[in-house]
Amino acid sequence: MRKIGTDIFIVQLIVCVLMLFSFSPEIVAGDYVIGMSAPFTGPSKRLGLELYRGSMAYFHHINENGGINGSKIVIKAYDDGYNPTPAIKNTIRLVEQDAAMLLFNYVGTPTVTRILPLLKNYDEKQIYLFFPFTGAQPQREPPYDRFVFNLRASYRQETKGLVDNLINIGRNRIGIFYQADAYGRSGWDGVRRALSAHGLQIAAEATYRRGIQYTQSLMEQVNILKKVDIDGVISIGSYAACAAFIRDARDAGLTQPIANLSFVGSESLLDLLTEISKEKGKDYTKDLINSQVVPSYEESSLPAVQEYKKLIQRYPFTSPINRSDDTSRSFKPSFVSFEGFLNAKVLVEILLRRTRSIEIRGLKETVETVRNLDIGIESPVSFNPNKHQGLNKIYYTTVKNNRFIPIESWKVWEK
Amino acid sequence: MIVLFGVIAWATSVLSVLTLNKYLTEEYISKGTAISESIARSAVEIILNRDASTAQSIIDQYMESSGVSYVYVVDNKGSIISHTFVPGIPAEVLHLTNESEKTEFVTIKMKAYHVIDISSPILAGVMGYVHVGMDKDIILNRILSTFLRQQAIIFIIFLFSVFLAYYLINRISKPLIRLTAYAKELVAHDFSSPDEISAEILQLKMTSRDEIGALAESILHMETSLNEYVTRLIETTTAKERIESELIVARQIQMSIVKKTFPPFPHRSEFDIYAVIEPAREVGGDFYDFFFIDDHNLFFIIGDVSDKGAPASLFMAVTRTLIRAMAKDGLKPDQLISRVNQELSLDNESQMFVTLFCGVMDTQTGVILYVNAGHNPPLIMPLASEVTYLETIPGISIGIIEDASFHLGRLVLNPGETLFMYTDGVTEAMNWTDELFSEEKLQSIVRTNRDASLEDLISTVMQEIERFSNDVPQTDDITMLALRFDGEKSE
Repeated sequence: MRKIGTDIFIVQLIVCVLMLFSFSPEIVAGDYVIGMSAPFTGPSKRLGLELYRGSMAYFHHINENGGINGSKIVIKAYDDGYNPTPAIKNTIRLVEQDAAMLLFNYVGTPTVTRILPLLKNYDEKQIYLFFPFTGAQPQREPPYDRFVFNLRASYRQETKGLVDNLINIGRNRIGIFYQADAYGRSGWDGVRRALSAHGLQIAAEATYRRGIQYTQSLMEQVNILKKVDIDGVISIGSYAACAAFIRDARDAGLTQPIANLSFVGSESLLDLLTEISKEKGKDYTKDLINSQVVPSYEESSLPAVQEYKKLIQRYPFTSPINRSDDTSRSFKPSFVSFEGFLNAKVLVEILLRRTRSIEIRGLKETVETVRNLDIGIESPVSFNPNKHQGLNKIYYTTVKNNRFIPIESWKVWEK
Repeated sequence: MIVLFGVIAWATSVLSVLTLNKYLTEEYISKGTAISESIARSAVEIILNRDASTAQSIIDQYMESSGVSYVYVVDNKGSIISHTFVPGIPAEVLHLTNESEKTEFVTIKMKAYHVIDISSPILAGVMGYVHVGMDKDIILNRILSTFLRQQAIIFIIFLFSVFLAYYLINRISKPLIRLTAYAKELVAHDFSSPDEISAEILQLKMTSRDEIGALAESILHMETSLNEYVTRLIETTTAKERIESELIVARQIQMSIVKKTFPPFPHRSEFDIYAVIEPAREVGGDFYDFFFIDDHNLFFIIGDVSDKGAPASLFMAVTRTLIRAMAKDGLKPDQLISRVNQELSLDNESQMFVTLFCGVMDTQTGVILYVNAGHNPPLIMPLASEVTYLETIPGISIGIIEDASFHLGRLVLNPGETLFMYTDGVTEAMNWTDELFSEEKLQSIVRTNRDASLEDLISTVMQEIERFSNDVPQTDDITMLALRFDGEKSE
């Protein structure tokens, strides 16, 4: 009996190993193993998938062309469903079991905020988190800023930009709809600070619980905001919740502009709104403002956009955790995958610099010496020991003909 | 019973609900206090040095604790800088203020639920306060579910007990009902006809090893005993009836040998005689007799056999026959009694004896020669003087000593004078208080009625005895014999 049990176990083990070899990127000694924890399931899974896809398109290209001095870049990715506890577990697993050399492309504020103390714990191993998909403050401020390198601008910058622009066109009474967690609080804090600089306060606030589905009603939240005479709403949430909020707000007759942050995943949001617009014969995509931290992929003049569009079509995308998940198999450009692409581009440049360098330097030191790196988006990337954020520019977009286009003038919403 | 049970169930539950509420609330407050103070301590550094999202991610962690309804942090200006409310900050918490330097708690009512709000100061309140809301409805729900579970368990136990009691009582009462019915049937049962014992009860006796079995056995035993008793009773009754019918015959015989026709000698006017005999049982041991032994000598006798009933009656018959036979031989009373005594004493195996008073009266002169063999002295009723008992020399009763001799007495009755003889059944008649009728009473009655006819005299005495005894059953034969000498009539 025991013999048979052992045999079965061995057979299963062999099968598992074979499956690993057939499906996952082959990990060979000397490869750059980078760890990623992101939502690949649940209501925010498209953020994780898009980000992964954009990065992998570039890594795939690098790997096919000889890698980093012959070493390939492999992403070891785990799903956290946009929840802190799995994110912590994934991080421990990536660092201790998978011996990832660095962490990359984490998604979300509540998740990243909670793994920061872990990075401090792994201080001796020199584990750094590169380019998390969040604009929250904790990883941009002491004591954890030294373990994290951000590429994108912060939520404070995004919210400040939105607030300043809205006030410029006379929209002073700003309401806020946000996720009841660290992400939402981070955006809320940004809005509050921006308003406070103008001597203003948040006119009204409503929250929602992280993880709600698009099908759920947010009428309660809409009513809270509607009760107060507001000039506009800044929405700090995920695409499912924000789309549901916009749907319910427009249904309730709230016609003021609604602004979303980059984290929302603009295309995912737009997909949901386009669908319901068709269904109900009403334009739910009107008066939307989405702030972005990367330029629009519609700006074909940018070399990075051209490269992105070329490489991403070449890359045979599959979900890192569920190979039968074909939700994102057909290619459509997105801000999120473009950001992933740029993240990968900067990381590859850093890794190349590190191997090229004659002196043996730490990874941190290598990054901190990057100055004015041109990645083809017109804004150069710079880091230094006191500044672990590569980009600062915010791009404002709105929907026209079911596409996000840059806002040329805010006057349309002038009050 | 059910009501009592319900009261106990409710009382127990209410007590546990109260206790549970108290302890759970204390537990909740203590948990909330721990959370609140813990956040307040860590908040110092976070509020001073870090941004709002860090504070948020700290308070978010506590939302995973069960019972925590909300957490929020108020800064020193009183604005909420971090909270977990969805969809918005409820109005109820906006006016909650804690200005003290220690943790305080208060119960507040939200729209749909109750919350215990626990507030702890951050840096003694200088930097604001941490509020933790503990959902009181969780306590209430737990209590409710405990209460319902308890009630359900009690109800199940109750149902089980009722069914058990019903089963047990049924098991006991069913045979009891059968036994009761059987006992009732017994009353109407005809024991004189042989009947088989109820198979059902027999079965009960065999199967039940408890009190029911014992009861069934006793009932069966009772039935058997009753059967036997009734059978015996029938037998004895039959025997008694037979004897009684025989006794009736014997009485008829006895009565037939005792003269009952009065006056017995209608053509004789020189005397009058009257007698009555009332046996205690059907056949008595008393007797009287009178007859002429020659032309003018009248023999008379009253006697009492020591026993009663048929044997005494037979003994009496023998005695009477002997006397009758021998009296005709012209013997004087003393000789006559001696000879009868001899005859009776021989082979007197029954040890019976007879007391008697007998005599012969010369109806021409009124002279009486008499013998008293252990009998009550008769009353004489002289014309000139008081009614008195005749002073006799009482001899021995006959039938005891074979060669006993008897004294011959002599007495002269003047015309109009009466000799009143009786047996001890008269003077020893009893009433309810065991008093005897007595010789004095007899004497007084006779004296009072001395002028009455003999028949009236005797029946008066008889009535007096009946009145005296007042339905006390007669224990001895009552016999009276009165003889009056009238002398030659002048016509």
